[in-house]
Amino acid sequence: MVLGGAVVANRALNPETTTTTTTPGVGPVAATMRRVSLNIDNVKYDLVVDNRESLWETMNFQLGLSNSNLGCDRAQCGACAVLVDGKAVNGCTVLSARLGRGQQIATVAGLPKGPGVAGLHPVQRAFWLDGGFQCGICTRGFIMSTVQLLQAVPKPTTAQTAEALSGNICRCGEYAKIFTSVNVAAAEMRGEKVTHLATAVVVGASGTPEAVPTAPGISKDFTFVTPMPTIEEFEPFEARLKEREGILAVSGSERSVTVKWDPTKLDETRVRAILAELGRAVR
Amino acid sequence: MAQIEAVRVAQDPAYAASLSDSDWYALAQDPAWQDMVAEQSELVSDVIAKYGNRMGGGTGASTPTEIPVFPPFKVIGQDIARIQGYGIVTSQGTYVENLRISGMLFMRTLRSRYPHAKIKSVDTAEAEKIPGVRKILHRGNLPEEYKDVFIGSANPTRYIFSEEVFEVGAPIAVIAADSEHIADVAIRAIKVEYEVLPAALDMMEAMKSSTPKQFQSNLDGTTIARTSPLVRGDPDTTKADAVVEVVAIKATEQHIALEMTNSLSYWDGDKLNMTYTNQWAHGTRSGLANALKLPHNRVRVFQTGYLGSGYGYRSGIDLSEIHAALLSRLTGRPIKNMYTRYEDFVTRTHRPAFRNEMKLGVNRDGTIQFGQFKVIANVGAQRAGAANGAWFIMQDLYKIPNLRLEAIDVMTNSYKSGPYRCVSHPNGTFALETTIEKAAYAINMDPVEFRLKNLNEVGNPDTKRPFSNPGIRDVIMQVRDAINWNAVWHAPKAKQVSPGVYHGIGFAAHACSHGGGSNPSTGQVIINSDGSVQAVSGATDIGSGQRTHMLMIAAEALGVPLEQITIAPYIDTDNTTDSGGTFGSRQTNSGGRGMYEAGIDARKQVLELAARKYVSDAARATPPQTITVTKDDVDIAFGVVFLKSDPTKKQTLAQIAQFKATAIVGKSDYRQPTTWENTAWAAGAAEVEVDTVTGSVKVTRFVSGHDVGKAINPFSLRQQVEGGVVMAMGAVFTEELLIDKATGLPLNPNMLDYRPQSIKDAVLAETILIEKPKEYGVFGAHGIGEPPMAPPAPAVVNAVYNAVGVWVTDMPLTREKLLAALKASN
Repeated sequence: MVLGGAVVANRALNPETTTTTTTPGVGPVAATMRRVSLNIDNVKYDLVVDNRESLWETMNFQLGLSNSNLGCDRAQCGACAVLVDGKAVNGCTVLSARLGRGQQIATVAGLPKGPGVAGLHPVQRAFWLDGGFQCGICTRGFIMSTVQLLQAVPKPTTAQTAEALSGNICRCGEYAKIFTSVNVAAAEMRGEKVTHLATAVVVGASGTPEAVPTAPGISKDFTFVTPMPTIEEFEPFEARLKEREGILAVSGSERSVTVKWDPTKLDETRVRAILAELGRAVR
Repeated sequence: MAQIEAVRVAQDPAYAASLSDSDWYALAQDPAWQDMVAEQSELVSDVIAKYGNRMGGGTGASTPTEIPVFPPFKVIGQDIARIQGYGIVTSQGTYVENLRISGMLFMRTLRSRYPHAKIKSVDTAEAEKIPGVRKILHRGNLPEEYKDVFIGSANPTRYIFSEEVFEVGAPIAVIAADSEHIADVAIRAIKVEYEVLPAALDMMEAMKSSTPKQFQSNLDGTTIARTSPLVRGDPDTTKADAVVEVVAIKATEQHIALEMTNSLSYWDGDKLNMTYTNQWAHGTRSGLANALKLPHNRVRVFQTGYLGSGYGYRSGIDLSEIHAALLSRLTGRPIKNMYTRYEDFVTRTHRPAFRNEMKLGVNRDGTIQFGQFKVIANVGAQRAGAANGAWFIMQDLYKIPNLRLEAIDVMTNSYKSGPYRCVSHPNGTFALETTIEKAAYAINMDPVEFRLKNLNEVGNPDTKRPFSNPGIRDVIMQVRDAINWNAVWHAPKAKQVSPGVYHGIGFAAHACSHGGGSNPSTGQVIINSDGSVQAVSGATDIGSGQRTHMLMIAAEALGVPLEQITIAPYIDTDNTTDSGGTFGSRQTNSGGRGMYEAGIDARKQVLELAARKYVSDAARATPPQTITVTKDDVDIAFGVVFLKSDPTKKQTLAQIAQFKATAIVGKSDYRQPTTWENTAWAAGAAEVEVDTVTGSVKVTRFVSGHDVGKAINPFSLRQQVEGGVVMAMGAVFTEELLIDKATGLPLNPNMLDYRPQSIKDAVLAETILIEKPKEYGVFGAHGIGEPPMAPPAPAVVNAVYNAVGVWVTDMPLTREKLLAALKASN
């Protein structure tokens, strides 16, 4: 079995464009075929495709690249989304024969800047550690749509995020933590210091635990006694809460807040008191 | 040995009585039976009580290892991200659909366009001329040895290729070709001659005696089974101050797991290898082995550990997987078989359509006097059971002194039923909880107070099996308080928020018999010579983090930090033991129990070895010392063994494994106790705004509360609840798989017309987790994969009543239905 993903992830770390030829580039091709030169994550692939073949099929079956997933094959779910010249498109429906004319195709495989958790793109890290998926089949598409959004809008509102991601379906229904993941990634991309809701179990090459940008802590959901009038007020509240000593991570909505704190510095009573001090008493 | 029809055993007492001991043993190994045991305990409990001692292994249960409460927990209770996370967010994680292999061919299936027909002939001559077509298989050229093979139960029978087909989408021929595009062209070139037969498409019509029979049966029409009614007290003549009636209807729902069913098969000599999107690798193996007449060890099923979820429909194989295996055998080539989204929608299983006829008698003091509940399920084109699964909540949640429960399963030539985050508990809850709320309004009582007054917190009133530490009262009260029920609840139609828009609030409680664990519960924990630890489990991960939880449980039981232990995300049946399927909310207590017992077993061995090593080391010291150390003098924490009397005297796991000179293997052969009425408890409350002009309903707030026993990983537990509520809201508002009543053809098997919730629709639920440890649970835990699906429908319907004063108990709650109800009430 060819597992293409690992090879491409490594190659994508090299920003220089390299060329891979899977089919000899000479001679005529059948009328139902096209010769294309695909640029995927800065790697050039010269190959011959069936003119009925989608980009997903070419990537998955011809090139062995697991860079996006097929969900519906009808452009209705966005699991196969990749960026073509910076715009999210459904790889299941765009024909490979229509590409290969200089377009830049970007996928999750090209996002990491280096190996391990630390090398991940902030959007990738946030989706993992803030829980923006359950089964993950939709995630490669969600990540690319999020990358597109955050390139244009560094600090999206809830409505802007929902609009940008409305072409992607998460059947596990994990939209709550997709919002969280987008917000955390956006904050990190703006240069802010972020923490994540969950801890990854990872071991470095030396066999010792790798430093992960997260801390052990206790998390709990609280419901506000009085809900905020709109969710837009959550963000400034979240920012003020994060400034407090011992608060590790914050997420939530206008109705409730999930707070993760360092148990060596705070306890639940103190967290409740902090929330009350900030004008948001909780039940 | 004849195949035993699992469903028929449960539904036909005469058939059950006719089985021999070897039949019972065979049945116990049948994945369809094991699936029913896990998902539909109501259906099989009588049979197990009567014949369980003939099914091998005896009826005895293990004595549960006493659950050591070693708080503070070192691993359990932490927020741990998925072990597959890196693979998921990069391109490294391999879903089955991502796989390719040299020389593989692509498979496509020609399927019936009629809901009921005889296949008179199949002509493949034109199709075979198309370049790139390698093999076409159909009833006419199926090797003789496979002609008697069928899956599921008989009557109506689903053979590999049936002469008589009972559903749109039944397979007629399969093609292996060089590409899917060639196969698509070729499949259209096959000519089929059908004899169209009358179809039963409407469940209520199908039950009538005037409906033509499609299989041998003593019951009317295409009725599959009428379960013996459960009667408690005197439900028929008991009087009550108020009697409410509800007809509650649920539409056919489909999982639309985002990875379409697919597999990659190849043969290695006489051994089949199949990588398949499945929730139960060992069950898949049994299904393939049965169909191909092979011993289990000649079939290897692999699940990559990355699966585009399943929600219940991937517990076993369908005919298509047998076709793929045969095509691979006959062509000598690997076969890639990817369903289309249409096929995945239509030919796999569904949550069946239900009709519930409910009658509840209550007195003005708030006591329930009697209940008469009848559940009818449309199980589709197969022999299956679904209706009496809804009984559990009707039987257990409230004190109902006089009760009659009826259940009818009806076959129709349409969508086949199966588990979808439960089969029938959400339906039972929908029917009961709308009836309960209506009854509370009928006697002018607060619906939450009415529930609290009637709660049954003892156990099953009929079998007398007790609940273990039930958290239902706490769940209800905490959800009530979180949504501020006492201040927000008002009389129906009493709160207009803007012109024509009304506010409403509604409640629902829920009980589910799943998640307490079922057999088998196996696993191994291996300590390597370098002190690193491997957990080995056959429990598949379907997306909710089961493999991460297995790791956490093994680490806690053994006493090592997470960094010291690994678990493979994938399952390979060649080197794991069956630990049951990942369905029925069960893996925390099935696979998890296996991990727990194996971890404890390894821990015991480590402590015994360590004690011997302390003695041995002392004897070899200069000068030699004679000391006495037993395993009780030694303990382990954070992966380091120490003497309790002097914790500075430490040994690493590596030193102990090297002292033993071979790997240390802990294992589990646990059998679950049957002492308890295992129950997951939940409640939900919804606030809505109903626009009486447009008929639209906006859920402005939803609180979902669950008694989880003990949260193994609160992070992923909250995810399951949040996601479950979103999924359930789809069924409340948009999801309904329709057929054309004239032709039987599916009308909306795609993701635009059968619309799942998008991020714009999503109701972001507030989650309440309550921990009341269960005697039977691993660290006290109870699985809750399914319960979040149940409360939203009744809570929203009840809230809509509170808002505008009309009951719409026909799901989905569309604008048309609501507007029609409003019009009728004026």
